[in-house]
Amino acid sequence: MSVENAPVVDVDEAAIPVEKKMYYRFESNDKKEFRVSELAIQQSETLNRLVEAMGYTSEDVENKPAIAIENIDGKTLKLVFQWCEHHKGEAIPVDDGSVPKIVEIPEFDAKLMDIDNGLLFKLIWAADYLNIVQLLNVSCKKVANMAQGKTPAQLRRVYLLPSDEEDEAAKRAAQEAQDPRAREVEEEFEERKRQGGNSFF
Amino acid sequence: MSSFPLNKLSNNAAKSVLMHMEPQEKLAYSLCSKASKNAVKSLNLSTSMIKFEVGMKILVTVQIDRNTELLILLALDMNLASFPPGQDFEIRVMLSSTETGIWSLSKFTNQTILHHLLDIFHHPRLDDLSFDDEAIPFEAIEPIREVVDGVKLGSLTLIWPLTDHFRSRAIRTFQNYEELT
Repeated sequence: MSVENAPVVDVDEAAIPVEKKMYYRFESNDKKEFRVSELAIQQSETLNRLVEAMGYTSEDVENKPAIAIENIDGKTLKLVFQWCEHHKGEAIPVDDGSVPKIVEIPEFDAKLMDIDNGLLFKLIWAADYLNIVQLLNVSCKKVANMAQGKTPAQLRRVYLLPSDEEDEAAKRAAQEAQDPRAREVEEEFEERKRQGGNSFF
Repeated sequence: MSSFPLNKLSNNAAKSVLMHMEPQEKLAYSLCSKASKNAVKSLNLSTSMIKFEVGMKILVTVQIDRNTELLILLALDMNLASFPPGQDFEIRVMLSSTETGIWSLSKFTNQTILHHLLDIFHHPRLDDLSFDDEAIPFEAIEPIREVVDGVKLGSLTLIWPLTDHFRSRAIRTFQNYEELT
């Protein structure tokens, strides 16, 4: 049936129940406030559980203080909520254990993540902390793409990977920073292991 | 070249980055340090087959999935009698038929590269060791034995034009195979 031939039905708009959209207020650690729709929040398992547990009404949202997210700054949280609003209502991917993961970065996400690596680091940290699976996937994919065509030597520079010697030095420094008695016990334990003992006592 | 502090991410996020890498990038990452090797091992990668071909070149093939192979060319223009030494040497890495890079590696030998591959793919054996060029010098057998020393062999493949002398020596040298083809 063409659009022209479709029957015209008069609709009493007043009779249609209008579902009021629920928004929540969040505050970053540098006191920036954001209003985020309930549907967008569902992309974050952490925030979704939090607002469910709080059981806020629309009035509560307006009258009570904004929900504080104490370890994410405003610049990062803005990106997070922009992403959640854009992808609200989309299914949350389930990890099927496949390696490598097949993830395409959509155009919107690519533009959103056209940021310096410092902010990208914070975005990944936030996506992980707030448990936003697909945002974590696309942001990690962007970091994984930095490895394309790189040799091991280049990867060390790209990802700032310490050498074995640097790892050993860091381990030694951490041991030295321990309580001296704890270190003595550990050394004694290692010595006994070397001598073939399988029990410390 | 911009940098990103991957190790400063949480384990979960850092692991997610590695899982999104292509096979050759995971291999490159695993070759960066002991810690990076362990990180790749933790991904529980697997392969259905690893084979080691000795001809006028030495090629290790890792079957990633039905359509994808990771090929590691250990020696290009090889004089097998003077096998590549334990210092820096170059490997060529290909994904199926596409060359993805030439890597200069220090602290690795052909033997440690082979063990590294078996280790990161959690593969218990070398599925096939094949000598597939009649021009392979007799003296190549011993260096190859050193490379595969301690590795279980699925099959030993010796192509027909190899001399009887070469074949019998190879059979005596590589005794721990399950099948001779």
